[in-house]
Amino acid sequence: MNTSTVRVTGLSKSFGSLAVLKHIDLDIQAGQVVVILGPSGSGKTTLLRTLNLLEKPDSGVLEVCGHRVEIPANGRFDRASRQQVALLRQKTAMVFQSFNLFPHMTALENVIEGLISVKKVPRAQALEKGRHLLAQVGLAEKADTYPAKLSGGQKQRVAIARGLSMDPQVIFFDEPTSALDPELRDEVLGVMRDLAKTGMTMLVVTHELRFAREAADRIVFMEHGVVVKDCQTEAFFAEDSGERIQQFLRRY
Amino acid sequence: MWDLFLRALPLLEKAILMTLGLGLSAFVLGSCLGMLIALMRISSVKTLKVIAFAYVSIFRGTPLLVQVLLIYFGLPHYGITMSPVPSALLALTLFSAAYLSETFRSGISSVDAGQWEAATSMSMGYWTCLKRIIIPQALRIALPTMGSRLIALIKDTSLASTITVMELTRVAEQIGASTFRYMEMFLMVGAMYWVINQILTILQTWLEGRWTRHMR
Repeated sequence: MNTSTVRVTGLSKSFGSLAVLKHIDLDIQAGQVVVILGPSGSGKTTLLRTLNLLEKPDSGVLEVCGHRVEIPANGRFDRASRQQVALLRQKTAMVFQSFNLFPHMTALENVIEGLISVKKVPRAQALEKGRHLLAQVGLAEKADTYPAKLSGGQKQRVAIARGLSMDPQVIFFDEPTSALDPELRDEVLGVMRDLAKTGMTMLVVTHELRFAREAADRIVFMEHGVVVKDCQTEAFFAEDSGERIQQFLRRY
Repeated sequence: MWDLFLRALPLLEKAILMTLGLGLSAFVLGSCLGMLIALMRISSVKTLKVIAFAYVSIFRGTPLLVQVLLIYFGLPHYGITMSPVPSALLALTLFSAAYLSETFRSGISSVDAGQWEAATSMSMGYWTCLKRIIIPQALRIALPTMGSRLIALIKDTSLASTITVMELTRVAEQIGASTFRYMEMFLMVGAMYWVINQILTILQTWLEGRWTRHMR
């Protein structure tokens, strides 16, 4: 039985003449927590953003949550592919570095927006689920607060609750704590750790080595658009993981 | 001046309603058309983009007075005859739509790209995203400029006097002509335009504060 939640083969992406992703293959099993590490400009954020097609790859095949999308040679998706992309996005969630909460909506309205306008869930039902999710990230009392009145850490927790509202099979985290002060990071990382324990499939681009060491099952290390190392967390942090990895780990 | 004001009052009352009616209806219709043009301008369809660009170029690049005269005096040559009020309303609508479309477009493009990405990543379609996420924010950004356009439009209705619409300026001109008291009449309507626009300014400021208070 195939239990891959995310499988990509031959994924490539260039910005102009700069090749950001070079023929990437990656296979992520259901329930895995995978942290993608690598220096700036290694392509890790781009890789994450291609997985839900926020960034359109130049070539390759994606299989995410059972939806297969093959990037056509001319770059133009046909109707069937567009439908696959839409379905795939419903089964995945993304958490952004800059939160991207909707500023004209309260925390609760942010959380239920996808349920109401995408999944067409009745409002009363959506509100109940939204309150439950806000409680799960420790923000039950902030339901009616607008994002402008929330701290960075609280915003990111609302964003995580918003992602969870769609019952995703996998969550993509794009440097979720990079925009936060150190003292606010722990509350977000705490929520992510709890999530990892529930068996949620997670793909996390981050610079938080401690989080990687403690919460990840597996580390993917990228540099110059290729996967340099892909191994179990213990093996990655072991002393014999290779000269380049050791050099990287020393810098942080 | 008071006696003149009292004598002119019945006419001025009707004229104020005409000025306000023309200005506000043109603003509402112009906003609808302007939003349509703005959406055409940001669409990925080349033809729509070009049409929207040409529209703005023409209606923003020529004087409103010329547009008013063209519609009222020019169109009858092609069998299209309209009475003065609809002619003025059409010209004011087409003209304000050109400006308002640019106001909306700049509002839409100043909404952070991350908002589109957040909506897209939850599988929200283009139109739903526009309606629920982007336009509500764009309008908040565009509100001060929209207010300026409305005020400009109220003043622009005075050009309808050239095609015999009985609005404030035309009434002042007529009473002035029959009484030879031009100075007083034009001061009077000048003050009326000012008062109308002050009220609109206060309204805009109030709406702005109320509408954006959560986002600051």
